[in-house]
Amino acid sequence: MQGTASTNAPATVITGQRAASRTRERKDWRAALWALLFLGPNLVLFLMFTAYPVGYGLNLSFFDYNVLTPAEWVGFANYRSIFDDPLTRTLLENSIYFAAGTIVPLMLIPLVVAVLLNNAGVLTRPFRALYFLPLVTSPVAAAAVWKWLYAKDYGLINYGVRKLGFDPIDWLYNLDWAMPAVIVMTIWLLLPFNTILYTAGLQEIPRDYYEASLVDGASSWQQFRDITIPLITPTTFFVMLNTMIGVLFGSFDTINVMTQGGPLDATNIFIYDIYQNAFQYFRMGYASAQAYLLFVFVFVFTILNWQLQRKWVHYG
Amino acid sequence: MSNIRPTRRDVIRSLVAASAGASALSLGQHGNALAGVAPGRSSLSSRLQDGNVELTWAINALSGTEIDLVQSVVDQFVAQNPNYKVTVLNYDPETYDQKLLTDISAGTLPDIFVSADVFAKPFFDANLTADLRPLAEATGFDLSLYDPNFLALSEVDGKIGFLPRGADVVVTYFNKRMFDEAGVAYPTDDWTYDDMLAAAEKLTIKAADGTTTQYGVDASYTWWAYWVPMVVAQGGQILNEDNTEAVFNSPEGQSAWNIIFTGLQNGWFAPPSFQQTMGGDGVGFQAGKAAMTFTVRALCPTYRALLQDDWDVALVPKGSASRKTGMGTMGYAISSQTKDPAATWKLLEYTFSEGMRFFMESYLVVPPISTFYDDPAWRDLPGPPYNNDIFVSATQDAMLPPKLPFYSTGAFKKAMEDGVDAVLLGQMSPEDAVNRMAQEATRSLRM
Repeated sequence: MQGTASTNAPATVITGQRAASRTRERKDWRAALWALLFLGPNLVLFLMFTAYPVGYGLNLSFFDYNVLTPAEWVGFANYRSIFDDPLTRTLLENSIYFAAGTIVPLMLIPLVVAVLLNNAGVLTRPFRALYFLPLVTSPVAAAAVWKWLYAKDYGLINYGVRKLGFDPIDWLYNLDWAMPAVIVMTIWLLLPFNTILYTAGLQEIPRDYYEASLVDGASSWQQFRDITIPLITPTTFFVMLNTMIGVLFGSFDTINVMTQGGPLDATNIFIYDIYQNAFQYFRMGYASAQAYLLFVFVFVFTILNWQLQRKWVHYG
Repeated sequence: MSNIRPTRRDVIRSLVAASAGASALSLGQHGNALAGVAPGRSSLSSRLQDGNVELTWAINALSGTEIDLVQSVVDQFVAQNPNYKVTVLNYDPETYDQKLLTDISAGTLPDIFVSADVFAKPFFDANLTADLRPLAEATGFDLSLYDPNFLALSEVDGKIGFLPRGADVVVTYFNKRMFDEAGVAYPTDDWTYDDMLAAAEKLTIKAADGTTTQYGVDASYTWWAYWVPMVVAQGGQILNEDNTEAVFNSPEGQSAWNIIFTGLQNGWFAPPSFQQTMGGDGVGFQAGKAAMTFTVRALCPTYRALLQDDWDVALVPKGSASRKTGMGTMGYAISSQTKDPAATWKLLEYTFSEGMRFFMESYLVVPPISTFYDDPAWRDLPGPPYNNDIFVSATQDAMLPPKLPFYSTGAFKKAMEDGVDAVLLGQMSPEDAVNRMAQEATRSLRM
């Protein structure tokens, strides 16, 4: 009968292999414990402040709860109410409008800025400092300043509009302009971070490609189009997803300061409506259900993009 | 016996899974806790240690003066009672109710906190506030000295939810310099809403480029204390008998809202966008950008500090049926979870006896205690305002807020704001907007 390699090996070899295996496993355990020691604090904080509240929110979404009176189990009623609420369609349209209006410019402009910054020579550092200023600015403070910039009577933007001979626009109190105004502010705020990402991504592109293209007589535009854009797609993909999550989940503070979702819900997106329902109308269960639906929406969108990335993202 | 040993990855994976499971388990347990308000936990700090008392007192400083006032009261009290340690917590007035809800959920409700007429019943229903009546009776604090109108606002089924700090009635504040420069007579006891609109038109100033540099009125148009009395003064009603339906879209109610829409559409009243930029309703008045506003005495310290011009107060205008103004009160409640109610009451009792002097002398309040009505401590304070009688005489026309369920107040107010926006943005006629406001308000009542 033919045995396995191990059963056919001499006894000393087998003993040695087992001893080595046990030594490796001991080292494995010790390494695991060290890993736990270093990961532990972060893991505890994650469980306490992220995992547990997220799970609690899911539980809450099945209750009718306004904090002051006992919670009442309502099953999926909150979710059904969301679909029955005529405001939900407005929120969905606004959220998509807001996301699309910010994501596309925040994919294109930072790339151009990063390329320019990369080739600015001695001016690279001062320009970088200038472009990265919004990154170190509190979003609330920035939104308050932009609110004044947009003010109809006293704002700097309308000062320029008047100088050009046009009538001033009440930017944040206008059904057509309120959302674009918030979008512009959001782009200004998030531009630096995406620029940093692209700057890092540009460093990953081997210089050889550019040098080779120079030998072939490629122009700057051709280099940008045929080398930079394809090879920066992994960064572009990350920027797209990160920006989407950031604007859909993280824009509450700017909207709260600038428009409070108005006028007439023109700038009301899901994340702001969740806040209103939870903390102004005390509909905690309903707000939790909204939060989970938003999560599902973003999750599905992310999964779809993961599948589609094979067609346009080039890794290496 | 198996020779399989878990790898490092297996260990970490299983620990994470175990933790997640533990979270789910506690989640299930905590889910049961949702069946009641946060499980009984003592207030944040009150505890008895060797006769020492530690208390926390939360205020929602509508005026920066209040923080200093309460601190002064506390300092004086602690000087007389050195076994007390009191921490004053300053909660943002814009998010006060949210902060309170957070405290409730966390079981960290301060021993003393601000309550108001609209909160009296909901707070009792949720077992948040202690009944102050037995505490007052135990120490002989005479509740009958309170103006019954204002004490009634804190009373629920015979229980006292909080002690009213001020007899708040909405009056007209007007900028005397602007009236003088425009040649408009000061408001009188006889002036009507038509007079007010005519004055607002004359008091509105636009620059050559169309920018409005001065508004006639800057007020909180969707605040119940502004528009509800206006509707009633025009002969209308707000809610039906059993408070299940909003009925202010009657012709009388429409005429009241038309006063507001007329002012806004003609640019005589500061628009919501201006108010947002300035940081709130009525801020234009204190910044010297509006000639009139309508609010309560509590804003006097702010106007005295910030408004450079001379100003005074008058009654609100008369409507076609009567004169009505909003009345309400805020005050201080004791948490039902305070460790030592008697010890906490001692501080509150001091506040509303010896401590009341601080409040009166600050311009912040009209005392709701009848023995202080004619007290020179507030009556003889140097102006502005000069016409302190107005704050007392206005109570004759005062009315209480509509009885809304606590959780519907936000949605109710939003219905009014959306209505105003719809008219200003040309989306609806005033009549349609008021009808829509009533419809949405009814929906919020049934939430």
